[in-house]
Amino acid sequence: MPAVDLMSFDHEAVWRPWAVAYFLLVGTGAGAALLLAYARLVRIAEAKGALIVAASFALASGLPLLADLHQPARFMHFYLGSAPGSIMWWGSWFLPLFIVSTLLLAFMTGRRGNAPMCGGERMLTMIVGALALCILGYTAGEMSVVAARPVWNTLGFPVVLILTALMSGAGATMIIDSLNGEKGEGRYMLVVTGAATLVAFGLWMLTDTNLSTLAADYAPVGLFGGFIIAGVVVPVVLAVSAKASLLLRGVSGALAVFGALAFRWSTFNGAQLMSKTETAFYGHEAALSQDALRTLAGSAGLLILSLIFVTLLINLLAVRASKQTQA
Amino acid sequence: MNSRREFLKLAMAGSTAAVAAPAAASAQAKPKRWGMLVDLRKCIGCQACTVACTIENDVPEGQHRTAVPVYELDGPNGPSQAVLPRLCNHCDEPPCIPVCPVNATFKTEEGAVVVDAEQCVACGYCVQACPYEARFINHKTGVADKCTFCVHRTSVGLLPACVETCVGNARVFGDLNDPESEIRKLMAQHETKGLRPEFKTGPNVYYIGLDDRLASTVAVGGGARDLRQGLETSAHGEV
Ligand code: SF4
Ligand code: SF4
Repeated sequence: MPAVDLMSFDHEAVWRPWAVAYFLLVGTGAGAALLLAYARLVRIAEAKGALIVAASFALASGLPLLADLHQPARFMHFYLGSAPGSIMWWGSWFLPLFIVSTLLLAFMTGRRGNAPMCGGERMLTMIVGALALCILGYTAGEMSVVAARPVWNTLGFPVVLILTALMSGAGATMIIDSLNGEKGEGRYMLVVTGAATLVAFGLWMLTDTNLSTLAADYAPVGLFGGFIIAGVVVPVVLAVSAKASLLLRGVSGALAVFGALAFRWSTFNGAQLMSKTETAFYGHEAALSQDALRTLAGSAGLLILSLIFVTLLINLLAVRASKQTQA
Repeated sequence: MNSRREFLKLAMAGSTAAVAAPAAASAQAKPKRWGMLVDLRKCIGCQACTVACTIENDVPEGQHRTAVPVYELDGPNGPSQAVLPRLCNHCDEPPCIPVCPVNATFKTEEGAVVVDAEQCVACGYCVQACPYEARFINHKTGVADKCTFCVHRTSVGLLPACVETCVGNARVFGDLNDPESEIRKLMAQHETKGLRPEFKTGPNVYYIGLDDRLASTVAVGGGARDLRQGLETSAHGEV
């Protein structure tokens, strides 16, 4: 035994569960936006479920991000100067642009009703897709450049973060499509990104001792049970077998979203509990502390409100459009 | 000559010269570059510096700008105790600065890394980026906090509170650009090391007598933390 700590000082996790909620919501929104762009521009499909997910998850993501700032009232400081060397500063521009463009796309889609998509809407769909790539790139880059956090500072972390965002976007779209009684667009993407996640996570686990330490010591249940089994393997199997069943598709989608949450929960919290100056873990927090439960409940409530708002926006505008056409 | 006396003499001489001949003074010397040397052979782990810093800078309970963790190392004659005063290293290439999205953290002309508390949005990105765990979000002020080399004291010719209070004279503070400063002389006489060289941050806190096993991530096994967590677990009646 080379060294033993006799007296040391704990450091708390500075990114709280709100950060997990933000990365889940914005990643899912971006994943759905890419599915939407692919469906509309390549497969010439309407992909309304993906649009609802992209716009409502994007809209709901802003507040958890503000909540994770310890000085939320100062958010204007991001825009009163420039810090192009900081990936977070780039993100502060990408996020509002992504939110506004997805909401605008929802507005345009609702307003045209059943009429075919115009050139402007096609262009906006492309912009939404491009901004979704920026969101995925900045969120993965922001964390993986932090050399002081060895679990994040790997090739595996950003790859799995992006793949799980895509999987979660497809999963959330499958839930909305099932509720609307449609087969929708998400199944293929969920299967492909789920399989890729398994390969990427396996390779990462084999090559990174920090991840295996985290998995073994801190988050065996979260990473293996919650993420890999319940959040990737089961939804992929369900999606493959659920050709016609809308219920199975919905369940598969919900588990894929849960998998993305479990991955973020384990790697965000776990990495922050790994001491940078010792190989110890700081105090093991209760997995579901009151703070965490409040965060989950708050984010879920916000998401439901956003889903209602976006669905109403699209449907009410569509009703108005069809009335105008009939008149 | 001890470090406190020399520092005060130099600071006072500096300010007199500045009053008498400002033009000559500015033409002459290189700007100051503050650094600290910790002689671990002299540190007794009394935590006087930890307490002095906490009081001087009004650091909330449970948070620290500097602290002295204690370790046990295996040696040829059995285990021995090692202490390691930790603080911000005021790095030459500080990873905490470029990540800040609002330019709230920067290096002063004398090389101290500081935070503009009015500008900081408390996103915690710099806290993540520092490999030394030298930063935290202050529970009282709600913004990023860290050692400033006591910039409010050094700017008026005083020593940082931790140096001033160190009972063993283990902490030496001074101008790294001045070959005649005590810190430079000691560095010329002794082998010194910085913490976590693998990060290439160019730390400006140096140690005499630093055991290699403590320089990078400490290979801790068991120890007080595990023991405490075990006790907490059993106290709660969990397995
Ligand atoms: S020790 Fe940490 S906080 Fe201090 S300058 Fe270096 S990176 Fe920044
Ligand atoms: S916590 Fe403050 S100083 Fe640190 S990166 Fe964020 S805004 Fe900058």
